[in-house]
Amino acid sequence: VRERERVTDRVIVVGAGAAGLGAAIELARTRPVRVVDRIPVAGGVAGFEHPHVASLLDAASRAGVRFELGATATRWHGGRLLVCAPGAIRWLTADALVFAGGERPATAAELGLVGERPAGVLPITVAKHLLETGVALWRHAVILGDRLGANATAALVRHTGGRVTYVGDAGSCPDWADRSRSGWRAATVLGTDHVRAVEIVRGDERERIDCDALLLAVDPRPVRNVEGAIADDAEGVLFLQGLPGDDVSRVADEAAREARTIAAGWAVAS
Amino acid sequence: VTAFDVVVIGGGVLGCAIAARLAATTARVCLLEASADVGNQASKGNAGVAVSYYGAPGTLETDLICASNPRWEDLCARLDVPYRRCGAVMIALDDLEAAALDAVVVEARACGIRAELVDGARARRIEPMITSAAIAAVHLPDEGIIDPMRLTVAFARLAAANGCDVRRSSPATAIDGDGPFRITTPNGVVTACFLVNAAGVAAGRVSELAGGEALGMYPRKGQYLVLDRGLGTRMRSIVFSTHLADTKGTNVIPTTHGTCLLGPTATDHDDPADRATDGVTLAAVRAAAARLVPAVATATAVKSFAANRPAASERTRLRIDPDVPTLLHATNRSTGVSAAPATADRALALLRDAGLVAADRAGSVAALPAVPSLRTSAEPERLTAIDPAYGQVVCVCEQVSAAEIRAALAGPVGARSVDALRRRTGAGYGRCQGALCMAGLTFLTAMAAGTGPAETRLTACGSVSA
Repeated sequence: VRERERVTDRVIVVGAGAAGLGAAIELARTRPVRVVDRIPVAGGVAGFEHPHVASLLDAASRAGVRFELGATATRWHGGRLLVCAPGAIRWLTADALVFAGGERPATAAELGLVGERPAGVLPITVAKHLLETGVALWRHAVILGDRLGANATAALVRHTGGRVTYVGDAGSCPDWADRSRSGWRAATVLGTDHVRAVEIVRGDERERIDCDALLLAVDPRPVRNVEGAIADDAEGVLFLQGLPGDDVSRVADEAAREARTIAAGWAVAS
Repeated sequence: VTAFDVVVIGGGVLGCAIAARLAATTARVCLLEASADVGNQASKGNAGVAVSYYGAPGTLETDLICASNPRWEDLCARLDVPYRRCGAVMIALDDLEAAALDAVVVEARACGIRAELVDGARARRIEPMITSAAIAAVHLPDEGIIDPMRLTVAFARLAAANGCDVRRSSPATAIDGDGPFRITTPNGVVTACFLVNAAGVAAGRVSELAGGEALGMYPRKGQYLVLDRGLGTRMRSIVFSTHLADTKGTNVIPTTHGTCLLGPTATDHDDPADRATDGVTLAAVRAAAARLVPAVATATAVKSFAANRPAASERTRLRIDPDVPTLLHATNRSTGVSAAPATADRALALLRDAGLVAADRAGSVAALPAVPSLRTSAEPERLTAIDPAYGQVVCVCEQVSAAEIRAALAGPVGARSVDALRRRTGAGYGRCQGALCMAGLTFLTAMAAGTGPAETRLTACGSVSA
């Protein structure tokens, strides 16, 4: 027996991080809002325990925002959003989709990183997650860039006895690295089974750094993974990603401001 | 020591196809793959095209392709392999290329293949994405796109389902005798009355171990660029550059994943382990592809990779060794996927001629259980009735559910590395290249393989920790 629940919320916000919560609270002043997030708790990268996340959740709850957590949005088509949760895949209807899915590090291809494709070249997000198991994974990690939790990841590497080399923008010499190569960029990956070294370049200079992990934490790009809501001009979609500010309240305020501006042009629900 | 009638060395698309065919007979069959997964060399690094046309009539290669081509719909439906007969246009950008197209049409028709010469306007109606500079084209409606990795794994799974002993991480380190052969691997010794050498670029080494002829194999590297789904889903057909005497050129190929593949290049070298890409070559690949389909110039690349074709002076080889009458060589430089179904049948026939007793076995398994895909499902809301884990999306970019991951980890020839999972399900193939899901895939692989996170394999041989 199939039961397809038809929900007629007018706006669905994908992402229960600071931006998604900020937008949801603002939009809920004028219309029903539902927030969907693939992680079963709200808070996004700031985490559920963040004090300001708790106050945003209070505000959202007072504004009547409904939550669908632990559910992944996968397709946006004709005013319907396909939402997948264990045991239940449903279409939710909405007039607009606000996508606040956060950022991810640039990939090797986006960075023009060439060479071999061995094990050990990882997005910083993945490295952090793996290191959180508490196992000493690498003796020497090279971290490209200082974004998206590079500092916390470096701390985990060092905590388990490893060394960290930073490669990235000139002028930046992060205190979380044992060694910095500022003003350099990574060019070529070496190693057949496991990463053995990375070749870095600065102008005509080339240097080889032996390492057993190469972690990508540079040039964040907006996550885009809902079919039909990929391109910047996707129909009926407002993207709230990469907002200025590095703390929860500023990002939430910024998201609320953008949502207010955009929503002013939307037709009011009858 | 385990005794078999036939041992197939090499778990690429040809070795797996041959093993699957042999396993459907009364013969006792073993497949030995040197690396940790099947399809780990040329079979994972090709263009994903099941060609209808590749060259002149009357060659072994053309015969095998022509005999394989009509079978794809049936075969892929039975083996649950993504395939689409989308056709191709081979386009000419100048008079020299246009002149070469005439010969292509004559040659293709002589092979019995449908091919039609069309003008530029007609070519653009067939594939609106091609350049306005195309002055003529050959339309080849029987070209198709296929998932070559799924095909290879499916052949291996079908072989296993019919009793073939599929052993991975089992390189042949010594081969003694010549019927029966005694083959030593790190996972034990096996004996075989007949040996099939389908070891790709390592086939020369295997022949040498078995006392056979010198095969002269060498790696021919091809570099590829993969573009994001935005462009690939808009393409209706494959776009080939005109085949000229010295090159088949760069192509623009939609994939069964919806991405778009540019390439390949062809560089002969001497280190099979070298699969490095370089920036100059990749830029040239993109520029050459943009001459065919201008939109590729600005499209986002999700990854680049290189692979080695098993090249030799003999491009397609399927015959008994001149010195060892129980040794069958099966290698193919460029059209292994396209020729695999017929190669498997022909291999069985050759082995029977050589004395193998292998009657077709009634009741052998001919199909694999289909695992629906969340991404391509027309009615995704019904999938949780099959398995509640369809609602748990592991890879969001490619919309791969925990149900699909579980199916890829389970059963015969299951995935034992994150790469193997990726190859079987597409998880991690997308535009974020695993930034959101690779840790999850690693933990799921670790649980299935019974290892800790540090030892979990990311690639066939490389683990999380060095």
